[in-house]
Amino acid sequence: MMRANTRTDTRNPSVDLPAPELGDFDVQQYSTRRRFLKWMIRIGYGAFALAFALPALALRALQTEQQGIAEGDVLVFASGNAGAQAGTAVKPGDIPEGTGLQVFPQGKTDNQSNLVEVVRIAPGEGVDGLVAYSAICTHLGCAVYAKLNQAGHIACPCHNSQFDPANNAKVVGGPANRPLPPLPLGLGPDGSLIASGPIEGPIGPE
Amino acid sequence: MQRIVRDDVIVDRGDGRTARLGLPTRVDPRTATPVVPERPVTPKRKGWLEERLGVSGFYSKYGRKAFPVHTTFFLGEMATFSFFILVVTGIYLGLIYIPSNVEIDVEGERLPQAYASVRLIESIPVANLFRNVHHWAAHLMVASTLLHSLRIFFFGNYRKPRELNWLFGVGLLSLTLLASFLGYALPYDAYAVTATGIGYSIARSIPWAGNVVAELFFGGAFPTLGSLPRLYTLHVFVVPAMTAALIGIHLLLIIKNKHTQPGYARKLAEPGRVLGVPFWPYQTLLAVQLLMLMFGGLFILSALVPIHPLEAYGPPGPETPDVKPDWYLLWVYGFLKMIPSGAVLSTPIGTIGPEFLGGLLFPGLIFGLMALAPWLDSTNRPSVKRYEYLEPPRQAPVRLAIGVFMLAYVGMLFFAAYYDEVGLTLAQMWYLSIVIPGALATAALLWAKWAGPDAEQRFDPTAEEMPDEEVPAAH
Ligand code: HEM
Ligand code: FES
Repeated sequence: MMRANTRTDTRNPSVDLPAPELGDFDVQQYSTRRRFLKWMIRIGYGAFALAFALPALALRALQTEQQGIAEGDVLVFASGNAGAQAGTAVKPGDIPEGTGLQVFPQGKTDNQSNLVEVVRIAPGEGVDGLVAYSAICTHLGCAVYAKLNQAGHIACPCHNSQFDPANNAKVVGGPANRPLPPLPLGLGPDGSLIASGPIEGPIGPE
Repeated sequence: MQRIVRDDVIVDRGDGRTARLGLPTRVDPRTATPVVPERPVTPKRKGWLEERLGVSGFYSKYGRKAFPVHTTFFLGEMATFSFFILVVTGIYLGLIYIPSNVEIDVEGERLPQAYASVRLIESIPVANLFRNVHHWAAHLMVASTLLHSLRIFFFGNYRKPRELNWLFGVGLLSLTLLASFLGYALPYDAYAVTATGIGYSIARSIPWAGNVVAELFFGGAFPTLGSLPRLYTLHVFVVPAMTAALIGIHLLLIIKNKHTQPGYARKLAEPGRVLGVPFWPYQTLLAVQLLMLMFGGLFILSALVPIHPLEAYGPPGPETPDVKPDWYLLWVYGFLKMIPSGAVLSTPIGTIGPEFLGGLLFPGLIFGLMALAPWLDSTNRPSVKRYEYLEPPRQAPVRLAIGVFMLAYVGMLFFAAYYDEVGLTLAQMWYLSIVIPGALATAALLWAKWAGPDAEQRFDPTAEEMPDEEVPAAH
């Protein structure tokens, strides 16, 4: 705070100079005005910074519209190395006992989060013995292996999370925290596998 | 103790060998310290630049700064030069590279444009060479920055008056890791998309602000149209600009604080005086030689050992390739694998899950601890003197032990990246990650106590504030 009767030499603060003649200069008013102006300058800087920060927020996302799985989508081979060509429709017979296969909904293959893992479990369960889950790992979003591991579990190449397909894709190992969300399956008129609804739950990490 | 040989001075270093002080030097017979006359700055006629800019004043202010000569003192320079090489080679790559993930037809194949442009880079021999040099130089920059900071740590040079520069150094290490992570996304092969996707998910796991941060940083929900332009701008402009600025401040503070010196300097020059070669011309010559050596080494390495060729992983597809990050991020990967799935904490501002703990919080804690080192070190209290010499690590057993513990711990995190592949359980891994660093740290502590100097011969790393005139001398 400003002292009324002494003044400090700014270059040599230890020396007190005699107070200047103030006359009817109002110290109180002077210091509030100074404080006010200082605040105005600070607010000015703040506004300047905001003027650059806010547009950045508006630039947050440059999103392309992507479609998710819907009821009636025909499921097709996601890649060519499973015995058929990528993009052809999957029949239940394409998936032998105890194995898994990755499929995409036809026409929506550019959206990686549509990748689905179809697994044959015990006959009589699921649709024709088949169940399907989102193939996007709930840990950090890698695609799980198409092939089941030795224990018959769905495993993730990234940090080795494991999910039990026979048990609602419950987590049975690794760091993932949620089961893979399921996709309800159905059979189309020509006997090929279709989706009978969207994936039931949030896909990938929350 | 010393003989005068023509203009040169041979000084006993105290360890049986002699050092040669090459500048015309006189030795004060009473204090046995070399006295260097000011260089006469009386040119016959002032040069063109001298007349206009008065460069000799600049020379006598900065050009005569003394640089101690010691192998480990080149680590920081290596980091700086790696950065320089990255900028030079990066500019060449930027001339061809296209930051777009739009798929185009290339000879019957659907490929992301970025991938296709890097394939073009690979098909041009000289551009391919630059790409390899860029990648190898990135490894070299991380490695030299890391070793540089370890040298500062183990010799206790983060203490007064250099605390601020230690902080800037920790900032530089973080920026280097960040730049490397961002660079990885650019070739847009299967590896790039996987690694960057994981980074995106980690960013999203930040409580409360996760979505905004992730979308700002990755240009939307990765992978999307906005991602590559965003990551590219950060990689080639924002992060390098920040790095350059920090390197500048770092160097200015070295000029201000002066170098810490190897212990022998205390025997050769009076305490507090910097003994070394002057910046111009000797140190400059050494530095340019180092730069040339690095350029040469990196080009030879790149010609012989191609690194991360595109075909190794191919374009991104529905499958995730079996990948682990490069060594400098492998420890974060180890953390991610070690946090069990149940580690979830619900807080009022959002859920804290294993991804956040392993991917950001714990790595952040390690960096935070590192940044706080000057304030955690009890020998660095405000009243103490200035630390101007390298302190032999065995003289500071506790610091040595803590350093060994942290290094070994990070080493165990590397190992944790593979723990399930060698047949360990998670519990065993956690146990080992504490026991092994603990054992090594104890061993270091005992060794230092056993081998450490007794009280009389302790080396004093402190000195009064250094005077402005230094003692430059060829060494
Ligand atoms: C701050 C230090 C930098 C580091 C640590 C760094 C690191 C990297 C890394 C690891 C990659 C991936 C390389 C690969 O896959 O072959 C990369 C790619 C790239 N960097 Fe840098 N970089 C740095 C600075 C720069 C600068 C300053 C520029 C340009 C002015 C630049 C331009 C590029 C380009 C265009 C690519 C993509 C081409 C490709 O992948 O082959 N970088 N960088
Ligand atoms: S992303 Fe699947 S285990 Fe981490």
